[in-house]
Amino acid sequence: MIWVAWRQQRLTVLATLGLGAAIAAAMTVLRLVATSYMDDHGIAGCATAGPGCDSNALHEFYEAFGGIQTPLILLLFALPPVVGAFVGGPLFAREIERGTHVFALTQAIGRTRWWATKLAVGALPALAGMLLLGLVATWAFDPLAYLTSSPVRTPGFETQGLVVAAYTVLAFAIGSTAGLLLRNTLGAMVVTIVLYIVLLVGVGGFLREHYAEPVGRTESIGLDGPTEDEQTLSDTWQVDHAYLDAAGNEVEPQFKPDCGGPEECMRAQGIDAFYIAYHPADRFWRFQLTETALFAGVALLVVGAGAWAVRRVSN
Amino acid sequence: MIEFRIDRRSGVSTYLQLVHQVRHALRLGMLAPGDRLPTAREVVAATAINPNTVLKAYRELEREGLVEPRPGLGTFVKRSLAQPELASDGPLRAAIDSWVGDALAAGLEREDVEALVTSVLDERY
Amino acid sequence: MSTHALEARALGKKYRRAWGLRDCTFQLPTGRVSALVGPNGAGKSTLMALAAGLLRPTEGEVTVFGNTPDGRGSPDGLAFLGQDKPLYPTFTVAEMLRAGRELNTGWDQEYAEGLIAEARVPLNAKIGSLSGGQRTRVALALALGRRPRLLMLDEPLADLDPLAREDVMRTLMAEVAETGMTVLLSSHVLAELEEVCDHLVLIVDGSVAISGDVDELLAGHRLLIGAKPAGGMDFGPHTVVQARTTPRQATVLLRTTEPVDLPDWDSDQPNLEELVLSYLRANGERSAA
Repeated sequence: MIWVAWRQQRLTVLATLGLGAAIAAAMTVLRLVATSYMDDHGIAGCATAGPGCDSNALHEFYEAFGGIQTPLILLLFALPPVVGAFVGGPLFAREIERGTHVFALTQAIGRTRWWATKLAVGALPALAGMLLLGLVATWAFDPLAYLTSSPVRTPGFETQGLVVAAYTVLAFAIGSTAGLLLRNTLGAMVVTIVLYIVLLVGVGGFLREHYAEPVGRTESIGLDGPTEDEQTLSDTWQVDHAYLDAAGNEVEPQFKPDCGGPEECMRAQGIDAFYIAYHPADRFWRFQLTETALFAGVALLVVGAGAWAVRRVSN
Repeated sequence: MIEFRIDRRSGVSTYLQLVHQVRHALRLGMLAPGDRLPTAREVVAATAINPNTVLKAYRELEREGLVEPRPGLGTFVKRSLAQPELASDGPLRAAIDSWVGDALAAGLEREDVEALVTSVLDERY
Repeated sequence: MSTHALEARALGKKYRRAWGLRDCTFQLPTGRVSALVGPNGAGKSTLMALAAGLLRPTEGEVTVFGNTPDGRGSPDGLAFLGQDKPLYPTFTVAEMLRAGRELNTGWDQEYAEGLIAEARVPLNAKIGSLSGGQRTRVALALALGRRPRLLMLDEPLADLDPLAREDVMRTLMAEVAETGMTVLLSSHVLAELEEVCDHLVLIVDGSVAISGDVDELLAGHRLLIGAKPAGGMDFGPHTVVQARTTPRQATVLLRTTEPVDLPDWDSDQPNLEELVLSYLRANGERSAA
């Protein structure tokens, strides 16, 4: 059965791996060129502007490389749902559309084995490829932190590490199960992309910030220029902020045109301090593991639904 | 060896067609004692009929004592139906020949002759 | 072991809206070539899908050599060739044979290759490029390569030209002669199967109208033709299957095992086509009433 599944899917599997390899190669080249540029311009290892990291030089660096990195990030964003829709979607739906599942289901091999083998042969190479791609992205984008901004923040988080593979697995699971239920390739592809976007937006916008208690920090207002702390903050994912009075109560600032400079204006309203809550960049791997586990869990549920659906497939 | 020909529109059942064709061949001497009949597989591979039909026809011929199965070898002709009277120079044929000559002289059409012969046959047989 | 290759008992399958098959009972003894005949939509494909384990019955049961299909692969001894002969269009013939080998135990590669060679289909041809006849021959080789004891073919001759039909049937019958396997062939055209079947299952409107050995079925019926009687028609103990009348003449199909002694009628054994048509007409009249 493995041979049959491979023979049926080898084109899509190889195309997926080829696309992944091309993106990995592009990222490798980007890293090599960018690090050599940073070495030449004295900004090696700079994630934010500050002492030893000239902000003008960094800005020029951004001008030179931002336009190259952005399309790669977009590709990495799009790849999981595209693989899910174009490899997972037709996996069963195309067979059912063409009626070839009747051939497979009336041989000696059982339908559950047919389903599981096809799923594994389609998903495992994609999983391995995307895992590798995510790790290459982590390695390639690490010195480019100034361009990506913090790795715990969108889009750095979604395009690096383990989650690229986790997203792909979920999209693939949705695609294959939707194909069994809808018996229609196009429908399965649309469902995959729509559900995937809903899930990713939901998780990224509402759930991810709760993976850990954010770090809270209160600072009095009125200091000029960025402090060293604030430099570090630009490499974090800020999830909440508020203005506080001397007693620590939250104040809603009102900005009026006649109250002078921003600081005087705030003081006039009794604002004494500024509160922010954030996730530091070093939570990257922890968040990656949490999100990977979450998506893998949902993928498992969807695959379970597929195992149920395949028993109901008829002629 | 005999080759069967199935006429799907004759209205005669397939198995009877096979029986008739073997008898016919036996009468005309096309099949002689010791000859092997085609196997069921050979017949169906040529005619696309049910092999059970062939076997049924052979059983019928066997019942009539015309053929006998030899296990592992096939079905063989046991007895001929050829009679000297059927030979092309036999006296019966000569009699019919002269009778048909009379019919022609009397101005009968082929169909008239056939109808006449059939009605006599129906009476006698 | 069961002496029946296929047996249905009160078998029924309900689809979302209506019953596709209901109260279907018959036995197909081993070694027979059976025609599963009925109008389009009568439930022939449903019956085959149930026997192949593609569908699950809503009620009753179907067994193949005594085993109930459980959906975990084809029941033991059965090979099924679905309508439209589903094969992977991008595979070559050789690859398709390999698929048959990979998906089955007891696969006979040499035999399957022999059938392909006999059909003169090149092994390296893509399935998608084959003609309807070649495709059927390949599908048949894939089914026969499994060395089945029961072969089920759903409308195997549909969309084949007459020459290809003849070829397919000759191959099939030769294999039956060789192996003694049981065959169930469906068609909505009886004439296609009349020469090859010795057993009949007639399905009308989702249930079995008649089934059994063809000779016994024919012997169990009489076709009467005569002047239309002035009064009603009374045939005593014999059951009227269907009667047709013109102003002067009447044609009646009787089901009976007794000798028919009706001097006013010209009585004859019906042929298979007359028998099937009478049952189909009888059903049409019942649904119209």
